[in-house]
Amino acid sequence: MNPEDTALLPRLLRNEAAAYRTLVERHHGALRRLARAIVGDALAEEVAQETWIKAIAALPSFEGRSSLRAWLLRIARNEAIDRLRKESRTGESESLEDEVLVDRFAPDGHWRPPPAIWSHETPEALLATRELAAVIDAALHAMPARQRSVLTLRDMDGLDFDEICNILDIPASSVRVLLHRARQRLWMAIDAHERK
Amino acid sequence: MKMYSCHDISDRIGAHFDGELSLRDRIHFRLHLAICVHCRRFIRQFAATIGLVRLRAAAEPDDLQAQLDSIRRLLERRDNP
Repeated sequence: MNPEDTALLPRLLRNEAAAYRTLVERHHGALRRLARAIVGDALAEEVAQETWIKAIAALPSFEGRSSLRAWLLRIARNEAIDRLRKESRTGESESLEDEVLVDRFAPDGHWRPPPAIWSHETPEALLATRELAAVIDAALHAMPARQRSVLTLRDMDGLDFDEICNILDIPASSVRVLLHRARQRLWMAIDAHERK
Repeated sequence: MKMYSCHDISDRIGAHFDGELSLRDRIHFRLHLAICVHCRRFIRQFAATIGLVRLRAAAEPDDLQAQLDSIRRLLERRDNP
């Protein structure tokens, strides 16, 4: 567990208000990002808040088998899925086998067409153009929720693969495939934009 | 030994960035990149794409402070019913 969270835990169990504030400040962003990946922007904040209420009530039963962050994210994931059910929106079905870039290669395995030459190749320079930020947001929005969830946990919040499996309750091999597809989709969206 | 194609590189690029390629795969990777300008470009762009996602997370909407305040109020109500 994050050593800072380890230090926080006994203070939380003693009900110290300052410890709760630290906990929320440290993890709220990640909870909201995961909620957004699953239920979308409009409900993300509500799901994140509900997560805190559930988590704080359940804290005395936290056994430390995962990091506190992973435990909180797991509650957020369950909360988000419940919310989808209540809204009668079920997750879209998606095949793990659908390869994103399959049309970009000739039968001999060569690029067809090759990757476009981009105006910039550093994240900072790319993101400096307002237009591209919109392209990325649109690509994130358009991808299946499970791909977006894995991408959020791995590339935005830096969790490791084992933690992601536990939080999302999917096998390790699927996590890797979903992450790969998500990153490919983003690359493809930027490539299409830069080709114009 | 069959050389990797561009398609093979694309299939393994995530594992490359996550440090999960076997030694054999790493050698294949290096050999292909040595001869393929398109895949060298692709790998630079893919790295930038992953970096972009991280940066995007940092660009949180401005209302985070307001949301933290509302959670604080929730906690205070819980502590002082």
